[in-house]
Amino acid sequence: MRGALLRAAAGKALRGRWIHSERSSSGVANFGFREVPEDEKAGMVGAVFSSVASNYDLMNDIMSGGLHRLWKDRLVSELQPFPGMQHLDVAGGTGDIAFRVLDTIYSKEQRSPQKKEVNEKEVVDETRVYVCDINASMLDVGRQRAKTRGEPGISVCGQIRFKFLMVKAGLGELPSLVWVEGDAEALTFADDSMDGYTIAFGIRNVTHIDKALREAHRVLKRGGRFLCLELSHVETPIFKQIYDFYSFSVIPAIGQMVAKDRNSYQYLVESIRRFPKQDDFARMIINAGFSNVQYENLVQGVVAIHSGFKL
Amino acid sequence: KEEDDEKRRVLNAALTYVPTLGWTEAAIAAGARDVNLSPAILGAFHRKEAALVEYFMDESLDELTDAVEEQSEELEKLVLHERLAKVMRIRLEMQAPYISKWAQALSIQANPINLPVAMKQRAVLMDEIWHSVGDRSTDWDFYSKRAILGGVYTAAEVYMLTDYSPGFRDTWTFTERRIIDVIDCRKTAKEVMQRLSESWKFRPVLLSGSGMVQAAQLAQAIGAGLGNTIASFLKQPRPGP
Repeated sequence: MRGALLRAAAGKALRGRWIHSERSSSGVANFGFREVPEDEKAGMVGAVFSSVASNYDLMNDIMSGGLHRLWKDRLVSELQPFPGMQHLDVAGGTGDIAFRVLDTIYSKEQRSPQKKEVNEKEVVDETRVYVCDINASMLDVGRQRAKTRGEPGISVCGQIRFKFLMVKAGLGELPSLVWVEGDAEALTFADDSMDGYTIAFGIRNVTHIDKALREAHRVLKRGGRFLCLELSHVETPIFKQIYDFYSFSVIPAIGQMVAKDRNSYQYLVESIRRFPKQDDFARMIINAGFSNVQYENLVQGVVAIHSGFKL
Repeated sequence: KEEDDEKRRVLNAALTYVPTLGWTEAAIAAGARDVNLSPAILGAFHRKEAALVEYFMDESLDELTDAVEEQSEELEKLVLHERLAKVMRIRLEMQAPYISKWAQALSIQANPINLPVAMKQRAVLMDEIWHSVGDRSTDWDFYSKRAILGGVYTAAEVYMLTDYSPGFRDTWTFTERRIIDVIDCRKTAKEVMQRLSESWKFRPVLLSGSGMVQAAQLAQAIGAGLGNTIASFLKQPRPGP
């Protein structure tokens, strides 16, 4: 879904920049069925989302028929958050996953029968959900939402390493939700610091997927879990035809009607087809060092949740 | 595989927390922390608390095999029913440290999702016990012995839950008595079955499975010396595994 907007920006606001930019020698990245210079892609992603952050949810709802909420619920229930967890949600600017994780932890705290054994309040206070996104506007939307929920949060600029942050905060006490501006391929978190890592509908937009996976492996603790929710490939015979028709004919038409932007949606659908298949992506995850890698198809493969452990 | 080794290490560490935290995810999470793994590893266990209970059952089985080997000389000096009682006692004593939470473990095993594995582990355990006392039967006896011993073991296990005597003395007495009852019944059941098979008119009763069970029950009644009449025998419920 994000990828759609890449092309929109490339087509509209950035066209001038595009013509005058120099082609670097480092290589090319996929841009739907187009190719663009690698170093350009990340910047373009950032720029695009600045302009569409506020409409992001509407687009998701239209394209998935509201199902994206269920898929995110499923992702978080797979994660099984626990009180005291250090969790990192990457490319989750608007906070969908982060809020669900926090809600699950709070409800677990209330239902827990083991209260007498452990000091529950202390442990819950240790809970920390970090939301990392390359785009400041998406984070802004998330922060606004957090305020509406009454969730205290703190924002961090991507360059600061976390030890410094703790010192700066003075007490070693951070609120539960921390918004971080940063790049999935070069995370600013310490090694072995996270219990969980999720990336929902974001890994398709990363220029080097294997780098992002390796970063995920780096920041996870031993025993930590990697979860990725992403649009994926459908193989079931008849449903595949229906899905292709829906993707290539219906979605761009809706995009034209609602957002006056057929091209973005056309791009989006193409980029989904370019993303590696479930098994290939699972192999990439294994190559990054994860064990016990599995995937689960939702809606016959329209969406897939990949899971791996760092052992 | 490496992942399985890690999981076993976590479960092993989790066992130390069972007396305080029970057979729960919290115990597994505490165990994970002990081996320097994030509690997120819980996601790798499909039936979490059941995984812990099953691990314990497997470990106890291995320990039982080892213990029986070590004590094989002493066991040989005993009569069959004493040998059975001793082996069962060795096994039940392994549950003693967890006895305060064993009812919870039983309820986890009784959960329909976990029941097949639990039944299989118990069947293997009964097999191991009979094997360790020297049973080499290859006929129908193989099944009836294990089924009957399964009943005795379960009864003893449940009895142990409410046994507050020092060193579970009462449980061992209970176990010995039940084994004696059962062994006598088995022999008598065999004799009765033979006599029944000789009389032709009992043929339809014999051929039905329920008929065989009824015959065995009748034999039990005789062997235990309870002096039940045929009428009260017919009213009894069927013996279970």
